[in-house]
Amino acid sequence: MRRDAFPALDGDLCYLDTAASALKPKVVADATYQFELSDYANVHRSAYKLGYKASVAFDKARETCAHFIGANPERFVWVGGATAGINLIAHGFLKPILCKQDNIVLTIQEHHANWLPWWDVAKASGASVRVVPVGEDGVITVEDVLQYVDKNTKMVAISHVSNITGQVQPIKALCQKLPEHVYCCVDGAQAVAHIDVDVNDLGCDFYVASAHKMYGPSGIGFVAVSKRCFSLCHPYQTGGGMVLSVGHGEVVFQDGPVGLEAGTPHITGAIGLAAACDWLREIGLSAIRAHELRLTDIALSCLRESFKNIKIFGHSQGDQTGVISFEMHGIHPHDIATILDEHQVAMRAGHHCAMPLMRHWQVPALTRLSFGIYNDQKDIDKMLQGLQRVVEIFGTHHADN
Amino acid sequence: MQTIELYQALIMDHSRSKKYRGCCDPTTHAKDGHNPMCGDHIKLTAQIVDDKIKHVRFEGEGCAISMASASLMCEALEGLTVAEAQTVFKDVHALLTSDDQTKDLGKLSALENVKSFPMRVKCATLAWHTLQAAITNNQNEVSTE
Repeated sequence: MRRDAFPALDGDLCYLDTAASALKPKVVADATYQFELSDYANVHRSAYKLGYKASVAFDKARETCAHFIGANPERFVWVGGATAGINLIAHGFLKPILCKQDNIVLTIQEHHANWLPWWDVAKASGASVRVVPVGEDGVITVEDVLQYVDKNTKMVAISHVSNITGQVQPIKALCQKLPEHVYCCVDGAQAVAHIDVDVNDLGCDFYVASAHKMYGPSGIGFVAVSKRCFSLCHPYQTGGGMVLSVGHGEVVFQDGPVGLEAGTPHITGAIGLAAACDWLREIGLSAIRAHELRLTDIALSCLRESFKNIKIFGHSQGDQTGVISFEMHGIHPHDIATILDEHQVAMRAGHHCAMPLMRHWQVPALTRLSFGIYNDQKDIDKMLQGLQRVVEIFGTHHADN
Repeated sequence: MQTIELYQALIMDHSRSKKYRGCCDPTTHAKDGHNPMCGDHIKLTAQIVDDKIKHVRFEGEGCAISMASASLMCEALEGLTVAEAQTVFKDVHALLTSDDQTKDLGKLSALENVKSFPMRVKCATLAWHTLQAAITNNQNEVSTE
C-alpha cells in the first residue's frame, strides 16, 4: 500500500512484525530529524524564542495526537509507552483507592504490560485479581467479563485488540454495561494504527498506546483519561516541569496533563508521533483497515490450504486485525523464524509477552505474523515460500531413536 | 551459511531423540533453566557418584537447537568426571562463541554452525549453563539472558 514510504523496505525485506513494532516512514523520520536540527529546545521553561517555538510545536503535537483518538488534549498525558502508561494508572490512580476487599478484573490474554502492574498494586493492597479465561478462538464477550465483576470490582483492564489473535474486543459494549463504580482501562497498543479509535465513543476511563506501534518513534506513548478520573490521578513519578510550587516537603502540581509528566518530556518523540498521526489520517484508517483485512483473509486461506499441520489461534468469529498466530505441529516457532529469516521474512516467534495465555492454551510458544501499511501480496507469497522450506527441512529428517 | 547446514541430520536426530529425556533416578543434582527470549524451558537432572557423571537427563520444551544441544550434552558427558565435564563445557562454549576453537569435539562439533546464527547461540547454551549451575549448586534460577 505505502511500501515506498519506508526506506527500510528498499530491498527484499518482508517485514511481518508490525505488532511488535512498526517500521518508520520517511515522513516521520524527516519530521524528527528536522525538529532536532532546527527547532529543538526544552519546553515550557525557556524565555528565549527557540524555546517558545519548541513549546508551541510540542503543545500542537499533543493536540494532534489526542484528536487522532478523539481524546481531549487537556487529559492526554505523555508517558514512556503503553507499559509506562499502565503503570501510571495502576500506581498513580488505582493504588491510592484500592482496598483489601476490592478486586481487579483482567483477561488471560493480556500482554504482560497490562498484567504485571495490576498484580503489583493488588499485592500491595491485599486486593484480589480475577482473570477471565479465553478460548482458542480468542473471543471475549461482554458477558464473559461481567461474570467476574461485582460490587467490589474497582478496575477492568483489557486490551482493545489482542496481540496474539488480533481479536477486536467489544470495548464500547463492555463500557456501556459496566457498573458506575467500575473503572475501565483499555490497552490500545495493537489497535490505534489499525482501526479507527474514538475514546469518547468507547466510553473507557483510560486508553493507552505506544508511538512505536503507530509508525512513530520508540520511547513515547500516551494515556487518555476520562473526565471523571483525571482529577483522581496522582503523579507516579515526580520531578521537574510538573509543579506550581515546591517547598520543604510540600508541593503543588500543575493542572492538566503536565502535572503528571515529571522531567523533560520526550519532545522529539511527540513531534514524531504527531507526524505519524497526520500521515495515518491522510491515508485514512478505513483504507488501512480494508487493506490489512484483505491481506489477512488471503493469508488465512493460503495458510489453511497449504499446510495440513498448521493450527491457527483465533480468527473464527467477530472482528480481527491483521495479527495471525499459529503453530506447526512438531516444529518449534523459533526454528520457523530462523528459516523464514533466511528468506528475508521477519516474523516473531515466542511467547509474545503473554505467558499466562500460552500456559492457559498449553502451548510453549507461537509463530506470529502481523500486517502493517507497507505489506502486500508479495509478502504473503514470500512467507508461504519460507514456510514451505520449513516443512522441507523438518520433513526430510525422520528420527525415532 | 544456510539454515539447512544449521539443521543438519545429527542435530535433527538429537532434537527428536527421546533417549536422554526424563529424570535421573536417583538424582543427585537438579536445576531448571530458562531462555526468556523464546520461552524455552529445561529441567535438568544428573546422577553424580564419586565425582563421576553416571547419567544426565532432561525434560522440557524448546526449539530443535536447544533440545539437540541438551541431548548431545547428555550423551557426551556420561562417564566423565566433573572436572572433565567442565573442560567440555568450556570447549563447547568456545565452539559457539569464538573462532579460536580448533579442538575436535566429535559429535559436539555439529553445534558449531549455530555460531553463524548469533540469535540462536543462547538456545544452544541453555542446557550447558543449566548443567554447570546444577554441578556447582548455584542457587539462582538459570537464565540465558
